Amino acid sequence: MSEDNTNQPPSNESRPAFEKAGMQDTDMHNVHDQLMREKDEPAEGFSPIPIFLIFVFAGLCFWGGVYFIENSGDFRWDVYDPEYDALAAAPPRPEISLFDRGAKVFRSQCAQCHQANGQGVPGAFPTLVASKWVTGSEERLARILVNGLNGPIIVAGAKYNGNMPAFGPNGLNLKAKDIAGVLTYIRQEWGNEAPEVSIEAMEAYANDYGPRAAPWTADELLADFPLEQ
Amino acid sequence: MNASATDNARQPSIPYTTEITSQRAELSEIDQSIRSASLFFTVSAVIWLLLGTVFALIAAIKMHNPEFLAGFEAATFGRVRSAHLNAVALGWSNNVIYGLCLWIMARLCRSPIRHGGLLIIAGVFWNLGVSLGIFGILRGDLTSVEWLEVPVYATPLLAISYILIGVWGIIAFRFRRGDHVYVSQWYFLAGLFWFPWIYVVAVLMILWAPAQGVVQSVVNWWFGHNALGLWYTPMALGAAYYLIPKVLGRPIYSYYLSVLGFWSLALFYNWAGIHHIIGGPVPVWLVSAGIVASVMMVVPVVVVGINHHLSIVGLHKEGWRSPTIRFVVFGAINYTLVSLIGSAMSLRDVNLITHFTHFTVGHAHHGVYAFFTMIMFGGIYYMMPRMLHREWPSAKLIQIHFWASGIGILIMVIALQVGGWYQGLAMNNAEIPFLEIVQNTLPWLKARSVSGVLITIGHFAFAINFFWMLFAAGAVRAKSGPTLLVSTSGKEAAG
Amino acid sequence: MKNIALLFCGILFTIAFSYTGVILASQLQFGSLLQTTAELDEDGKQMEGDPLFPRRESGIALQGKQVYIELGCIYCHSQQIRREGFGADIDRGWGLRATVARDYIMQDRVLLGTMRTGPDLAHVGGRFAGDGGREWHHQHLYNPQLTSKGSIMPPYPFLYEVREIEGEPSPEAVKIPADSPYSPKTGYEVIPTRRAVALVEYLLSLKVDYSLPEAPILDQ
Repeated sequence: MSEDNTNQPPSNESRPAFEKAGMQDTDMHNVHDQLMREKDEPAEGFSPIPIFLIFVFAGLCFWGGVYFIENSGDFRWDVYDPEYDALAAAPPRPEISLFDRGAKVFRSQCAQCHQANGQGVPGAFPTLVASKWVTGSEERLARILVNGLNGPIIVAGAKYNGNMPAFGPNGLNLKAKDIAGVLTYIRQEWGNEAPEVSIEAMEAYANDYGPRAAPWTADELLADFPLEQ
Repeated sequence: MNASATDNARQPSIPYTTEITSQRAELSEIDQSIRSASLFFTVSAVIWLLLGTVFALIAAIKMHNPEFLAGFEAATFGRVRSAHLNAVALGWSNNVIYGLCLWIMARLCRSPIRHGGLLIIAGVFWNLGVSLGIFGILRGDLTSVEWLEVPVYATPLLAISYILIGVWGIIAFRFRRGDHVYVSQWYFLAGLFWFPWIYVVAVLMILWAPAQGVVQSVVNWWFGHNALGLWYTPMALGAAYYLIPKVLGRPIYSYYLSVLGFWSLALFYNWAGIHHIIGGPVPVWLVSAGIVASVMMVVPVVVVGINHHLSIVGLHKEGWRSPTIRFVVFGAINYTLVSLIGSAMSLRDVNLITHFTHFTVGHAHHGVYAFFTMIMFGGIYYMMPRMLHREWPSAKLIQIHFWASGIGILIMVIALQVGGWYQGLAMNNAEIPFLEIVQNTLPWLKARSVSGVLITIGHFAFAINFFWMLFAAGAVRAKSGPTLLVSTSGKEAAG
Repeated sequence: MKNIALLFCGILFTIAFSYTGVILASQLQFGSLLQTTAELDEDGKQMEGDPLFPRRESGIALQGKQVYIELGCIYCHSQQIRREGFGADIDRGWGLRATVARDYIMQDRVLLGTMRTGPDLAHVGGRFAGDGGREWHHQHLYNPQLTSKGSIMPPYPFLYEVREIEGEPSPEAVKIPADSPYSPKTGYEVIPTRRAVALVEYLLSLKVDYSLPEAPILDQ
């Protein structure tokens, strides 16, 4: 196509080189030097549009139309998913194991403080790894989750001082199976080995301790359930 | 140091016809009519460019070194970043458009600007508005609406002074001579109409009388993307359409391609902005419309790319010697690249990865810097000698500017897009802790700071050359002949 | 081009076309939604007596939102949850369901955001709550390294006042472990300013924990 271009040579073809300085007259030179060496004001050639482009663009337009209609969600304001199907019922969710459920809850609710690796932050958020608080008494652990825990606590020999929020009915109100899941997860992840916490057991704990408003302190818990050796 | 440049000028003189001389006299008169206004805008633009660069560097460093300047509220990331955006968008870009594009418009319309002094007054108000806006942002009055951070109290000043400035372009068009309207004029005219429309609608529906809920976000991205698509892009394309044939002395390849390119841009770019909220809380039909329009943008981009390329083909050597063409071609190539990447990013499967990551930041800089700003640099290199009747003092500084800016922006785009891609892949995998993703972006963010230093060097080289020329030390005044980057023998010209 | 009328009409038509199709259509279609109950009865009417969602923003949360806006938090944090199957937003626990248009109708300024240098915050109040959440946010805002080592979020020391302890340590003081490199000198404590308190209340108030008829939280 570039040959077409040679059919429309620039009108000032005779000028030998590119952006050449012109006038030698000194006066004119100062005023018009830049102007005189300019090429003419731009003009347009009239080469035709390559045919293949027309086909490509027609193809694009066709695709665009089809895509838009296919993904328009019937132009409804309350449809946000292009795969929406007006007639289908919501698909049933696959059942996931207690441990996997717990992993998900842990990522969203716990990892900010206890960190993704369960190591916590020195002085503030206790570690969950190799801690008797985690792998020991199920009920003691459940109480912490349901009502929270305030004040100093010694975990695996290190001292921490922080506020653990309540996740029971008086706090973030997580479902019993979510709490059961997260307890199962922390008791079996990072090399921890302890039995899972069943949903039924967790429901019982939530019923027992749910009404309590105040968070626990470490001493209170240890009075009822001394730390295992 | 002027010896070789003067030699260039002493090449055999060309006999000029009276017709050419009278045409040039007309251009001279037009240049004269807008000279002071253009200089005012360009000087303001360069100052804002430097300021914006400083803000950018601070923001870039803070991204991987959060303790940097942490004690100063005005220098917190959200504010410096916004100050950067508005300094370069409203300060640099708009001023350089007023300086360069109004001049090109006047020339193409063959109509001198009347009452150029009033234009300067409007320009003073514009710059006051931008200064007030940036000051407000740093002070904490920013709106946290992307691309509209300028505090509400500065917006009327901006809107009114813009209209006062834009009117000059339209008046020039109204009093044009000759009946052919060149492609650059279409773009300029359209941009001058589109920008106030989108700006006023956005300010009205988001800040002054907020629309409900996510309608605001729809307006926000209709504006945000169109500021680029219906204002910066047409202005840069119009400038390129003027500069390429003007410097090379060869017509634009095809009028028909120009027509197709212009109208398809006008039709599709308008709708593309919604791709910024793919997956967000807006009805899916709106998102799909945005995606289709973004993909359809392939049409104007390919058309303009072919048109520009075929206008230059065969003259690459000459182009490489001219600062103007070198910058403009860099910009034009990146227009094609950035737009094709942009169309790809709007596809749902790609957007799923790139959305919310540094990839988008890289893309934005690719568009506004590698395309728009580079073309504007080219335009300034062409315009200033005509405005000042002087030559650029140093070819060396132009070289430094081109290479530092060019390599800098390429490093930035590559670093942010590669890093952003990995960031996006990791973010879509819930197993990977968020902090780990953040850590993995650090090397790329540091690379971005390095690229920022390069770009800063480029800008300072440009500014030194610019002010040196403006305030013209004796040697510069006497210099004659264009400042080219490579002499005919292929060696670099002496400054 | 010589036909100037066509040029003008085209320029105006293209912008008017997108303005109508994008802006006006949005405004008409979902620009005046109302609060509603979580579920509707068979006739599509609201359940009488049920609470209305989304909730109205409370006073202190609104003040906090102003701080959020002033500091430009939006440039690193989005407030939108993408649907299950499109990104990992829900798998990451950033929310219980995708956000929809109606979730934003009570907000004077909508802060959807387009960047996730930090995590999404649409449902951050559902992830941190109560005194524990409050404490975490204050530590995190005073210096993110306290809670999230390696974060690139900037610290906001100017939202806190480091002052000498007079008598008893203030109960308001941010709890910082004594051996932390970020703790104040001994005898000093870190007190949140009013802005910090408001900002934290705003963050705690960000919750998408309710169902809407068009966006139910599917029970797992």
